[in-house]
Amino acid sequence: MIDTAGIKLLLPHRYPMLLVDSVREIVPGESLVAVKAVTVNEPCYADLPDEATDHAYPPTLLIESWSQAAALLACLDSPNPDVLASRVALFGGIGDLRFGRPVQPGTLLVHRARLVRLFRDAAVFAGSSEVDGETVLEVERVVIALRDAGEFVQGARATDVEAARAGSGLDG
Amino acid sequence: MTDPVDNPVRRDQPTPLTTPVRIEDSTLDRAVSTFPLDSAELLLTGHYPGFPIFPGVCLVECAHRTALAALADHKPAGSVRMAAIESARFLGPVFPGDTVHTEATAEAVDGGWRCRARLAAERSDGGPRREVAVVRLRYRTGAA
Repeated sequence: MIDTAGIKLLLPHRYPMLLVDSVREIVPGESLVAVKAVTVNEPCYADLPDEATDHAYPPTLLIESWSQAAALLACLDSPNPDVLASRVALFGGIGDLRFGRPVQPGTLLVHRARLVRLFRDAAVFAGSSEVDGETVLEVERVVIALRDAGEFVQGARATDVEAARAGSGLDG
Repeated sequence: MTDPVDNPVRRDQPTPLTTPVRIEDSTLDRAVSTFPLDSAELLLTGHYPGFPIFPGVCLVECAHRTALAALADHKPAGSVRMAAIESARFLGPVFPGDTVHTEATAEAVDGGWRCRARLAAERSDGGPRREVAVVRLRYRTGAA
């Protein structure tokens, strides 16, 4: 069992992009079960007009939530709470990912992820997500690449990175 | 060819993006959009603190919004839902100050549509466009 505080020691994601709440089961280096509660009070639901009736959780955030659960498998051995101190996890690719019934606020996502293959600079995961025992996501393959943050700072404009740091209110 | 669509800021569907994806042009089965990634985009504060970088799933979101515009002229009965990501390749990072340019095309397939999207990023202060993602999505119609 890993709670939210424990997840923050492993992942660099923070509000509003920390999309996994806790780990329920884990076989280190192999597989895990993690959960995320979906609520209408999340930023993705902000500023909807009153006449909007579609509250399906954005499919892209469902993928992000599952992928963060998967990434925890790789981070257990190599905690990565600060990308500036270690490495940035980036999507490399997605293959054959399928959605089931849309996910609604007021439900608990149960993510199941397994590590298919681990390289020095990348990891391949597969698995699924369920709500009330019903599959809402099936993942054949997600590839997550790990890169040193320093590789990118040279490519990005320092002013933009600094502006975002200042806006975030955090010391760089 | 239709005139560029002037869409005011509106969020009629849940989305991770604060700034809307702007549809620049849409015809039957094709649409083009832009998304300027501003440093004030809310999700960047958490992805990641001290190192803002556009999430790969948000590139998929740009592809998704553009694909929906490509499908709009079909006026499908009921809602159109993303059924699958057949493939996505992420080719390079996207940072604040970049504008994401997306082109999506659609073709009818059994049970819905397949949409292919190519995404490129261009910095606000010039420089060449660089390809950042290639995405292939499948959509289905019908009730949720």
